[in-house]
Amino acid sequence: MDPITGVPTPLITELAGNTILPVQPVLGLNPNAYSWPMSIVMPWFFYNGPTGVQFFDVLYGLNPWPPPSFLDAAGAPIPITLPLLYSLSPLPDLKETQYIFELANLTYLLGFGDILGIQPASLLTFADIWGTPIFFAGGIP
Amino acid sequence: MFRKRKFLFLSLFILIIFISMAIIGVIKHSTTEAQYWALMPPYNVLWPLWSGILSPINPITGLATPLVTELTAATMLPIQPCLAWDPCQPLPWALYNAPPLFGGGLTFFDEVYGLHPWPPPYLQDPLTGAPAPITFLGTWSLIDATDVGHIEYLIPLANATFALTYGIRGQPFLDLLTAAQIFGLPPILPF
Repeated sequence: MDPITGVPTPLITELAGNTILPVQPVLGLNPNAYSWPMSIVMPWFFYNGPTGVQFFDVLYGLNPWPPPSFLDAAGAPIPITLPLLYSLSPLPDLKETQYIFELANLTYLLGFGDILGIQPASLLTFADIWGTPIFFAGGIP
Repeated sequence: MFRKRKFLFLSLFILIIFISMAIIGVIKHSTTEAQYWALMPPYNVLWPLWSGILSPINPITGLATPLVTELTAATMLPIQPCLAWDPCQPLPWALYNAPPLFGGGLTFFDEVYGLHPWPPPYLQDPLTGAPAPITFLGTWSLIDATDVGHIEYLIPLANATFALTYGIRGQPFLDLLTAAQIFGLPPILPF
């Protein structure tokens, strides 16, 4: 939350291949993903890799950011075509996405943890990102 | 007399036509519907013909052909994970070769039971250890291909379990097949 404006403000101003993430993973959502074959839109998880940002997709695994199809022949970005009123899109269902956090972090640690000296405890958890209370008695809301 | 014989010939002719059509129908049905799975000896688990990377098209026959001809404890997989399925189980198994340091044998990951040496105990005769193949009451060839939406977590979970079990890190881990590769999904697009 920006203390001056009182508005949630992203930690970074852009997400390019050479962006340095201050914490990880950070999340991004492609609202167009998985209209087929999955009905649930899963977020992407972004990490610092040895040569730039890496992103984890539950089906495609861990790959350099951005996907090749997001760049034109000259290497310029091809932005995602967002649906109208994309900012009003509902949040991903928490219960549908809770396992993907552990899978994304595990995959990152196994892929780059040794080479980058990443401590598992340094990675944000599901609770960190969603801001769920510690051991919320009623389970995940 | 002549009319009766003509009627018999005509009836026989129609009968032969019907039988031929039925036989052709059965053959055509089995060849078109059998495209999703192949029976893999010696345990009769199902191998996914629907996966282009696990069952590439044979350039001579034009047919999807499994990468291996059998699945035993000594089978060497050319790529991993591979998939095999007993339709009595909710999800397919992910198959790997243990690293040579650990004997190199075939292992399988089951979402409920974890990672174990191949084969599952129930597919072996408890006394002799000989294969106790799956028997199919129905037509296995009519079983649909696995829906990627049912196993979106299985592949990354299986890969991570395999890597953690055998100390596989870095590029060898990143080289394990993803669900997208196994299912032959198109590249991620910005629209």
